[in-house]
Amino acid sequence: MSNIRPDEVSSIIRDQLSNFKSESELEEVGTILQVGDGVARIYGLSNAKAGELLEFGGGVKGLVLNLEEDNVGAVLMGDSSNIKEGDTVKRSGEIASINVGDGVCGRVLDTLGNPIDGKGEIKGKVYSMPLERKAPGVIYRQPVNEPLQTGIKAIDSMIPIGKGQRELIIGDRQTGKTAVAIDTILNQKEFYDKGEPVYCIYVACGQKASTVAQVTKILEKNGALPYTTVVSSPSSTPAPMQFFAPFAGAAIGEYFRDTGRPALVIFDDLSKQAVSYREVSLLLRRPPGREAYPGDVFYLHSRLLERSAKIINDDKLASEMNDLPDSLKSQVKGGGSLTALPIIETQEGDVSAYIPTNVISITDGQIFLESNLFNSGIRPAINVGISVSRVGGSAQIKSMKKIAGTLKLDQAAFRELEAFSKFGSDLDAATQLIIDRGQINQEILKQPQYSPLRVEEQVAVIYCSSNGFFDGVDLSKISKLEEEFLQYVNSKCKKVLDELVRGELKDKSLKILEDSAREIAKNYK
Amino acid sequence: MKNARASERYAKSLLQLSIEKKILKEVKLDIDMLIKVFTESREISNLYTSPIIPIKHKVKITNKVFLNKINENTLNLLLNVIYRKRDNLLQSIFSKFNELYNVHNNIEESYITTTYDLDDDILNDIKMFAEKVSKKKISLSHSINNKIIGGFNLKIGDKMIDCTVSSKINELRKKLINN
Repeated sequence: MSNIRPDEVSSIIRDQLSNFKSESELEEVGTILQVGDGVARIYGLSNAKAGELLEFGGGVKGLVLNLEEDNVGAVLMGDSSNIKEGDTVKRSGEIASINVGDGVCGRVLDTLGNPIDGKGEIKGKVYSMPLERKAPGVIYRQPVNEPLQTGIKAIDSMIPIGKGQRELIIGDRQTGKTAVAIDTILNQKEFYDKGEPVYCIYVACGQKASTVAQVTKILEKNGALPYTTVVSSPSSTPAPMQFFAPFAGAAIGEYFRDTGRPALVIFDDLSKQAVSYREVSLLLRRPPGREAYPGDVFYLHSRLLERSAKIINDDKLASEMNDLPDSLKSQVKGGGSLTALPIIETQEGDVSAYIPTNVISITDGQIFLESNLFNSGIRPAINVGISVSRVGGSAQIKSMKKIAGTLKLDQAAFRELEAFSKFGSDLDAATQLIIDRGQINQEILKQPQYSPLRVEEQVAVIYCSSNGFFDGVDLSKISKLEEEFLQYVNSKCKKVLDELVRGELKDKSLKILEDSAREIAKNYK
Repeated sequence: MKNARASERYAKSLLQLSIEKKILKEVKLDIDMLIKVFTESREISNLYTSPIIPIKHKVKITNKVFLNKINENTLNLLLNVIYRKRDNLLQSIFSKFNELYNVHNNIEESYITTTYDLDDDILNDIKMFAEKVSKKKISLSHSINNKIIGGFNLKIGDKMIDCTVSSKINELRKKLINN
């Protein structure tokens, strides 16, 4: 503070004053009839478009949502305490959009794209991306054909996710939904280090601000922040900001997608977004439907999730994509993708409630997390039996596909027999084998938080456990065994792992894996 | 808000009736006079908004005050509205009537705010300009407000030209804060 010289300050101010230009143009205005609960009704503005940004006095922004016979219904994107009846409202002529550029990586933004992490403006060139944008049409898409590695054994082997897919993470509170999503972000570090990053966007919608801070901290600590953007709209922000937050996240993801890069967006969580949308809709007096949600809550989620896509690998065709923002047109490249991992929180495991069924039907599969699994120590608490991935299978690398092919069925058979075996009757050898191996597989599929595995490691471990090389090992020692095995393989069998990444499964390499697995397993029996 | 539709219906029927009977000008004068009376006399506006006063009293008073002073059709509207217990809407009916009248005659209302009096020449120029912008006939009203410090603020229907000193200062303030 001691270094501020008054003449410097006055020269800065003089500079700004001399640069201050103000032109008065014909503006379109309306008058506020009624304001309250973050919603304003405005008389006038006869040319306002739905979804247009409005400027209220004091710099507060608003968004037109209802166009009625004699008034315009708008939501306020800020503090409404200084807005009074009779104030004038100006049209801005632009639809709600946020500024996105490569500089958003590593930043925490609010719904309107303003940085809220105190690190100053977004650096580099920015492009204006509309919050609401039509999804790419059919001819600009291509089928999902590349895997998106989550680093979680249970998911990558049995419920694979492809780039451009929409995979729902659903479960009760405290079942590790966010943990799965965060682990997936952390696993992308491998690709970032390799120079082919998957850009991640974590949208916190209606979360506690402390949770958001915690997540950001974890990302930072694990070196995941340089390729991640956090869009934060904690529960203290007005409802419109909350229900637009996922759209902001999608807009950021679209920037990467349309410039030919892969992106991953996590919507945490859409059930809270639906609640804030319900709040706004009811205040705007839209008729309520089931569970008091408005009739278009399905469309709210479907239009959001439809924006995740794998764009065709053809720059010329991609540059003709529908609804491209003008500013981005020169930068468009093909081959990008936007993968979405929406999260839904269920109440008491009730997946047949309105919002869960909607989102289940929109997405390309779902990962069910269950609290009883979580409590019995199976973490991640994925219920493999009812979790599915409708398109990801075609995206798995060959080696993983081959090795994990029977795992899901084996585990299903195991669970059925396990329930049966609880009656304590004598079992024949074949049944006993299925149960024993199932238990080992189940142990192998457990994974601590923030420790994603590379896909080749996953293949090696699952190959050994599902082929019975770990049979007879004490269940409590499995995690130790796995650790040692991976250490051994990483140091001694680099070549084998490289083969596995390329999708090759050679008998010779598999023999090496088998021998080392059996050797190490001996110490744990 | 929720009664806007009802007032519009009353206003619309009065307008159509007066067009049919070719007494639109008289009725318009009546309405302007009534608006003035309602704003100037608290008793009158209180009388019609009060739900306690019985209908027959209201009718009696209405007849006494307005009979032979306003057109028969306008009076009938007043009485009709009282009988239907919609008399609390009267003021919004009047303003709706003016709106509809303006639409019917292709008139746009326009307001100019300055800090000092304007002479007729300037007002005429402004009117011409406003007519050019809105491509409608303009009924211009002028008001003086010292809060704008200087300059002028011209409103033409939904459009506005804000050249006031106060808004410029506000803009500058926002800019300085943002930098």
